[in-house]
Amino acid sequence: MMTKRRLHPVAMVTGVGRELKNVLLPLLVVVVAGSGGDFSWRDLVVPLLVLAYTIVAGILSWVRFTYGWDDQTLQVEEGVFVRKKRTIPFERIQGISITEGIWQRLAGVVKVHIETAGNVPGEAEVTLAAVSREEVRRLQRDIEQAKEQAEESNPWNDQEKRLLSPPLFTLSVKEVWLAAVTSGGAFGVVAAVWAFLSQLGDLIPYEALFRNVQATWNGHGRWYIGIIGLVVLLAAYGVAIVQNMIRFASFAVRKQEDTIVITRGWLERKTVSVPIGRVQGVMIHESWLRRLFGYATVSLIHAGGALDGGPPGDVVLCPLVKKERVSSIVHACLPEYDLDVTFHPLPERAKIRYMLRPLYWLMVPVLLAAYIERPWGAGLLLVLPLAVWIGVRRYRAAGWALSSRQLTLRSGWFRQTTTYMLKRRLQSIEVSATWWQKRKRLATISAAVMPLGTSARVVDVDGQDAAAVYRWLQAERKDET
Amino acid sequence: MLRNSGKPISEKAITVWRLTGVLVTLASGGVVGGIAWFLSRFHVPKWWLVVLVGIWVVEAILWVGWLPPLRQKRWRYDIREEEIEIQHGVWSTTWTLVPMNRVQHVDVRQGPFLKRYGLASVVIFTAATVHEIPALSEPEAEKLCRLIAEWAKVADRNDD
Repeated sequence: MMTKRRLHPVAMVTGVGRELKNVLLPLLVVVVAGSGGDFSWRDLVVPLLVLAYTIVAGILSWVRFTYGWDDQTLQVEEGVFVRKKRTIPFERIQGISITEGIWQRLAGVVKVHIETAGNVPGEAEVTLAAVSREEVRRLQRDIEQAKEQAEESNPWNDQEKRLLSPPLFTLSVKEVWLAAVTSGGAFGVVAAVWAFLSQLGDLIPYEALFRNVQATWNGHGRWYIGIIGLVVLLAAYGVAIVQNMIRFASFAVRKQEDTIVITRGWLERKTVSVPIGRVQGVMIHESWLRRLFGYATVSLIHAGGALDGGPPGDVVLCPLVKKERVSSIVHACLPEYDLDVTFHPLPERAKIRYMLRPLYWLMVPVLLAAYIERPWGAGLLLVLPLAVWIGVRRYRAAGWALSSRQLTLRSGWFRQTTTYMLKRRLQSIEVSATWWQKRKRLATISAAVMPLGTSARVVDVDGQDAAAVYRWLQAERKDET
Repeated sequence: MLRNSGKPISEKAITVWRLTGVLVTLASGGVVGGIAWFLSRFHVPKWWLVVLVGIWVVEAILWVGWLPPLRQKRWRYDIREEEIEIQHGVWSTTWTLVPMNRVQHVDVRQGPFLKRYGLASVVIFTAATVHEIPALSEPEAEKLCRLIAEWAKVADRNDD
């Protein structure tokens, strides 16, 4: 039997709020642009109608959203005019993440995001915007119970599950700070500011602004503009730091039986649960800045959508961790993976290709810019040896490692990425060689794991080695028997 | 390095790709004509037109004359009980290996050109990737589809 339930009324507030945020800016533009100077009450009619519609629609969609579950399936019905009914069998659920926004906290509820198996991102997920904690706990328990029954494994033990195991990994305040400072988020903020400014295009007299800028540029004001640019960048950086600090505050990773539970966040608490069986691979990122301090970032590739707000299938396990600790933490969470592998380097003849590759696309623009801005622009030419140097570093960083059940690929220098994949999780392997690569007996290896399109690759591996990796996946069945 | 192995795809693929190439060049001919007409209104020197037409002719030769037979020659596939191997590419050769128990489902697809020549393509889906073997004869495609479906199921059962 199943009772249909509505979400907590605070869901109305958050839903309407979200919709309002989307329509507010266009409305503002319409009002300001439409009035054209002399303002009258008539200009407010359309915006008010839109506002009223948004609010009514928000309330109606709350009224028409119901959910409920029995011991096998979760059912959700939604849609104001067109009813959409979804039935999700418990064993198809891949992960649950719980978020507490400010509104939800005020009402003492949480937002639940349920991820299911499926190839179409977005279709395969359900969000319950406001549910009491009590109910989430019951839902989680019922799901686990159904799964255990399906697997017919050891009997369910309620008491044991309730105990919070000690965290395997936490971030200290200093590390939260370091993680925020060294994250690349600043660029994201700059992009957001830029997008916002370009949306306001009608309001800001850009043309006049640009004329001024040009006049200043041609005059003696280049430094002046440079400094303004720098200030904007620094401000964006500051914002990104604060964002990241809020995001990673009180970060903790726990292992509860066969689920990895990650909790994090200040103001907005978030809990992400990833069943170990769903983990498809482990990725270690080392940006050059963090490498300087001996730190790395660990994330999990899991089958399913965006549980963590990042790209789909990516969950951050450790935002920032000392390199020496990575191996033991991953071993505690995922004992199947072996991180202490020795990498095979690329052959010497690949080096020159790594050195030249950045030059292909840098050469023309750099030479052009140096010519136009001469004589001082000639300084730009220094970029070219730098690019070659980075090419050498990239060549040194790249490598691969193979064991009987695990493939490891590593590449990159600015952001060195090492991907550990178990053989039984690999969906396919591709080896490719261009005419130039064939001449030097080199090849590119790429390996794909779930979800859609996640793949790791290394360019310019020795041809024989690439063939060996390919044959390794081919020989799978003979190994196992 | 990996060797060339496996079965070739149908030779009629060349004709089908030539036809597609003709369509592509006609379409791009329209674009090139548009650009030429646009430029001619701005008193652009004549040699620009020559360059444009030259690019178009080279493209036509590539797409209709040169590439189709090369592509057909380089496509190879091999389907065994335990794995699927596909090899293709003119400038860069790619070897793909898909273990049979990763296959989730198989499609047979047929566009108007393929249908006209009694051909069909087999498309193989895993949980993370999509692979295509183009332009097989219809009965061959049907047979492969059936075989893969059967083997994928068997391989799956062994795996659990």
